[in-house]
Amino acid sequence: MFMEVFNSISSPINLIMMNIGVAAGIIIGALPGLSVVVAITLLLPLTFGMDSITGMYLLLGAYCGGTYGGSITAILINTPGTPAAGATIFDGYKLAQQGRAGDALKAALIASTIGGILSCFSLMFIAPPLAKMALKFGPPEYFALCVFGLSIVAGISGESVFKGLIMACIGLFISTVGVDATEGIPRFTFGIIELFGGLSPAVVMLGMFALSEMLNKSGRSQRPLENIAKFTKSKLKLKDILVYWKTLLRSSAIGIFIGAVPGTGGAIAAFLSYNEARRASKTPELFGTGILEGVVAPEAGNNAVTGATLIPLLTLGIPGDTGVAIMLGALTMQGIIPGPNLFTAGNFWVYAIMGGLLVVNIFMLLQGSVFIRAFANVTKVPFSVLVPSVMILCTMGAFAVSNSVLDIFIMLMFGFMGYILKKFEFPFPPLTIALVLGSLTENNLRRSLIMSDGKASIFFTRPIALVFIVISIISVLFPLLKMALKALKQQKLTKEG
Amino acid sequence: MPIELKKTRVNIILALLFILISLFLFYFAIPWGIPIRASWGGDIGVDSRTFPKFTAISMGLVSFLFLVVSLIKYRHLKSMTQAQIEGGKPSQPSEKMSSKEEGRALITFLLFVLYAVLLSTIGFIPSTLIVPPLILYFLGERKVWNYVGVYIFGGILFVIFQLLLKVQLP
Repeated sequence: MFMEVFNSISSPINLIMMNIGVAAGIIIGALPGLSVVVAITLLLPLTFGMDSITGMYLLLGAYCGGTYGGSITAILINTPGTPAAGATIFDGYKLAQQGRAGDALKAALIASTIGGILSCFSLMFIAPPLAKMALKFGPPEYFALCVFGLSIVAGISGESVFKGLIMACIGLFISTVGVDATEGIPRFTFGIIELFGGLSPAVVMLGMFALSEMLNKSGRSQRPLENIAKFTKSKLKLKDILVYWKTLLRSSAIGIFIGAVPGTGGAIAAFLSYNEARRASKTPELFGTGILEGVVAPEAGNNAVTGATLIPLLTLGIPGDTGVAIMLGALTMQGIIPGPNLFTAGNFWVYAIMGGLLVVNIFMLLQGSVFIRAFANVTKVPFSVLVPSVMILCTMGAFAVSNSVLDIFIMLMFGFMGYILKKFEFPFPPLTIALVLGSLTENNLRRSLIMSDGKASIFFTRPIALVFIVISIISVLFPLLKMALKALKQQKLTKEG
Repeated sequence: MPIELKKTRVNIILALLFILISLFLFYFAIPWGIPIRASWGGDIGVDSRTFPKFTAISMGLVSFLFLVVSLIKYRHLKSMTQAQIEGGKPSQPSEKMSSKEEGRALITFLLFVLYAVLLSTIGFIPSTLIVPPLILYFLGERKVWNYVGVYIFGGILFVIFQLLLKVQLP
């Protein structure tokens, strides 16, 4: 099997796709306001005509590259390209102001690569035993697991948990469009044959994430561009960064742990890594003044999430974050259902993905080292050029899903809906996760109820299912409880003041 | 009016709107959009409408809770002074778009729609030659090279989709 995996990874087309994915990811991640999710969404249509492994390499490249690319904007223009790069600003931008932008970018690149590679190894060692355990799952356990996957929306909803839950309900509802898999009854198809297969997650996401963002950008296109720090060549050597090996290891461990827990993500890992590095430092007062360790810590942390988020995806079929949820959408469109069965039925496929992720990180290091100046220039691309370019790509991408013009109009509809919902601060990640998990949840619910003659007690009498249900309830209630406590505290403070 | 108070008032309207949407889905959209086959679902009480109904009920419940929490918050904020609401911190400059900016976004959206309509009627190449420059001009772009750049990007995408991925573009 080793040779089979090696041959797959080293095939020219796969190597090319990894590189295209990394480059596109870095470029899109470096564009202010465009996140790694947009990078994956925009590349998604290109995977339709590809072999599933090749397509995954492209998306994994975009995922890793986009996570690193966000740091370029953070360092050069004091705006995180992606939320995961939020903590890189503290010291990265300060370094750039001191004329050491190149050093900061190089430190970010090497730390990101090390974090990403360590994360790959965690995936290789943790995923197989977890999948072995998950093989014992039946429909009730799967349903409970899906509920758990859906419950994470409470944690990724940002400020308003209620708005996140409403978005999740919208996502679940959209997932019911099309012919019902159990009875073959068309739902909300209005006699339109193109809708019998349901609404493609790719089309919905192209509209919600990419197009709505372009509408936002077009509105603000006349605003002046941020102050861009001058790019300077780096004089750093690898050993200058490996001096911080303890920080690199600690941050990577934090990133791996955070990434393996569904519903967390790169931003939390980056901030936590930064805080831990400062706490452990002998000179914590220097953090925030422009030191390399302040760049190394968050960047190793946020990229260490990339491999670890694949652990729940590959072993349980549960996406850990929005980027991985889009990948899950791409995989299901290819007919691949992630979960423990993959480890038995498609053993080769899983290991090819794991090995590919490792190579993707190495390509990220190479591309970042050679083309860093070019990538830095991306931050200067005006919005007026970006908007029509993304429009063409989205339109072609939506059409390519099923060679249907209707998909273009559906994408436009979701783009406009996304633009409006964003104005009212509704978060999109819950909708994405609910959309990709919707049919899986419904099918397992119905199978479970058929097994139990319609008795819902089946979910509470089987231990594993019960554990997941309990965790799900806690995951939803915890943010609500936190919100209530915060409100009470504020009320108390107001009364005192 | 403080931003926080305004936001809470908007949230109350949004919660009411989503309650109405969930009622509409439950009582009208689901019975209308999903036919029922009598032979199915009778024994266990689960049919094609069950899951959509469950999501509509969930949306309604969450929206109702959202409404209650927003109403409590609104009442509480109303009883506070502006300084208390801001907690001693000065108001942040709003990231909100001006009406002019919103108008620009809406016109851009209409240009997107025009592109989709032209694409389905006159095909990819003519529509790509017409609409992207209109968007560039509308967004204030006057540098010729940026127009050329967008055309080149469109051309590259055409090659990728039509020739490499074998997608038959309209």
